[in-house]
Amino acid sequence: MIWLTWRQFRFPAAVVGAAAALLALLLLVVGAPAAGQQAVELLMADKTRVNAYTFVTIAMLLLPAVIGMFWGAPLVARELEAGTHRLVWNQSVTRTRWLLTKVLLIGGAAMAATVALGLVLTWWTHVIDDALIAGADGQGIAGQPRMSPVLYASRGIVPAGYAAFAFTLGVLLGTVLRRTVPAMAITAAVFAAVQLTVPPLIRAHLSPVTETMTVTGENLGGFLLDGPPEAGGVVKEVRVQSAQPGAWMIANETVDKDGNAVGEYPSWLASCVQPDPERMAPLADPACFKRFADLGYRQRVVYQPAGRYWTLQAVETIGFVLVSGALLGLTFFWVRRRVA
Amino acid sequence: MSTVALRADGLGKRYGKRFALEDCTLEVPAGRVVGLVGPNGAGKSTLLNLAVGMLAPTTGTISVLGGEPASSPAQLAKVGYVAQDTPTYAHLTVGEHLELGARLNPAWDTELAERRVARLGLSLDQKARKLSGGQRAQLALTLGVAKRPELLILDEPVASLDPLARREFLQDLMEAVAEHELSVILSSHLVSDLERTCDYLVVLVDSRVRLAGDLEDIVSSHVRLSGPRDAGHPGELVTARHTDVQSTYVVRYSGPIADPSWTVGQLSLEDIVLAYMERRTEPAPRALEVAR
Repeated sequence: MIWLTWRQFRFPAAVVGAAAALLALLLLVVGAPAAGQQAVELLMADKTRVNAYTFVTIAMLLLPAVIGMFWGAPLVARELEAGTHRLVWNQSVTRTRWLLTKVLLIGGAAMAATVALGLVLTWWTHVIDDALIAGADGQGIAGQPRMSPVLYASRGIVPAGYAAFAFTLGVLLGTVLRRTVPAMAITAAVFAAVQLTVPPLIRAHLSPVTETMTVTGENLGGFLLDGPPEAGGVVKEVRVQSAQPGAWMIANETVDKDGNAVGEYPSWLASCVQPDPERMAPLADPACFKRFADLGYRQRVVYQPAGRYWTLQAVETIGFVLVSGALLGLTFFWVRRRVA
Repeated sequence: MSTVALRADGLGKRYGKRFALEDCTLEVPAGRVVGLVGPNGAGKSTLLNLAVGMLAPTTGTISVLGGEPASSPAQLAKVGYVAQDTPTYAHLTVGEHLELGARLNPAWDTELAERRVARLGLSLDQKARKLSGGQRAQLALTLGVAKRPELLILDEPVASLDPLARREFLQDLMEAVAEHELSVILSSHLVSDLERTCDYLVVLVDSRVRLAGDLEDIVSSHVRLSGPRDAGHPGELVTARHTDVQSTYVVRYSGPIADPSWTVGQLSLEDIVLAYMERRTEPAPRALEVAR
């Protein structure tokens, strides 16, 4: 069975394997960014590295979908389409063992490839991650902490979980739909939907830290008006600065004295922040914000702190592996009972 | 070795509301070459797929060589299967197909497989997709035979072959049967394919078994009788045809016919099978329609 698995799998394995090796090589050739206090600034100025970083990150977010489409979906569907399942399931190997061997070998390869690449990217970015956690600021991808949803699934160990999920999803859909191309398309669509919904619907709720604080002139981080105060502009949004560098900020919202999110801010708040011509930065009026606080307005901040990165990575990876196991169980049921 | 190749009891397979095979009770002896014949869509493939465990029955039970189909590697090893349209892996070479057989079957006969492939003139490094239909069927048969099963099941193996390839394939199958003492169950919608090769016949019409038995017994126990209209007939009626003055019956009856008013005609196997195919289902469902 191992021989047959390899014989059928070697071409898709070579294609995806070569692509993964090229990505790793790209990072190695470009070289990891320089360490130090100026790491983020240096990276931002280095177009080659920023491009390589962006490219590999996007590739890592797509890689599990590619594995699900090209390794998972055809695994059973192609046999059903060509009728070769009637050949191979009538050798002296039960179809359970046939499927188990294929899924373990190819699924294992999928997880190994993605986790290897995820760890290479982790190594490449670790000086940036350290700098951001130490409080550095930056623009673009260089300024994004690894906890942020856009980067989170691209490195660490969680790509292995996403790969296992995409692969088993592809295998199941291929088995149920019995057609390779529709199974590939639906695998990609479902995987993309899961990738987009896991951060807000699941990761955000894995016991995040919630803090409520008073807004002052000092911690004010954002103040959004829909027009100049003189022209009757009102405040649309108030944010505080993150005291937690490297965290994933899930919510940063004003609540009233009853703890409800504020829809409309008092109109006088608009004139609390004035442009300061000398410092080229807005100047907040402390008395004004004291009045705001005295009325019971507070700022509620919800975030996943930087220190929980590996815990969350482990939890999410295990979660995806469990879901993959369930999908696999369904596939086994289907292959044994429903397929002719 | 089991003396019964296939035993079905009340076996049925339903797709949605339609039964592809219904109430099939059948016992096929081992050591025979069994022909399964019936029109397209009669349920031949369904019965064979149930026999190899590709399908699970909706009702009833089926056992093959005394075991539940495809229930274990040992059961799988005992039954060889050449599926309809003889599927092979298009991207694998002939040699790789033999390698597949060798790696997936404990009783694989390498020497037999290589000898057969050499005799058929197949090159080992030829991709299966480059083979002709007949060559592909031969490759699939080689996989089935070299597995050294006790029972070889073939589902319409010659349906897509031209007459010459068809004859070669069946001759080749017969040689393999003689050489390895295989039991064989072979389906076809053509009686002529089976007449030359089989010694036992099962006729399947409208998802039911109409007739099963030794080929010679079937031929010797059916006659065509022509005589005066509505004079009655001996034995079990298969079909009846009437003109104004005359009735023609096909009956299952092997006794002597003394009445001189009857003209007795011999029937070929094909005539008998066609007579059973002609015989429509009893009009039992009509009663239900009236009741409604």
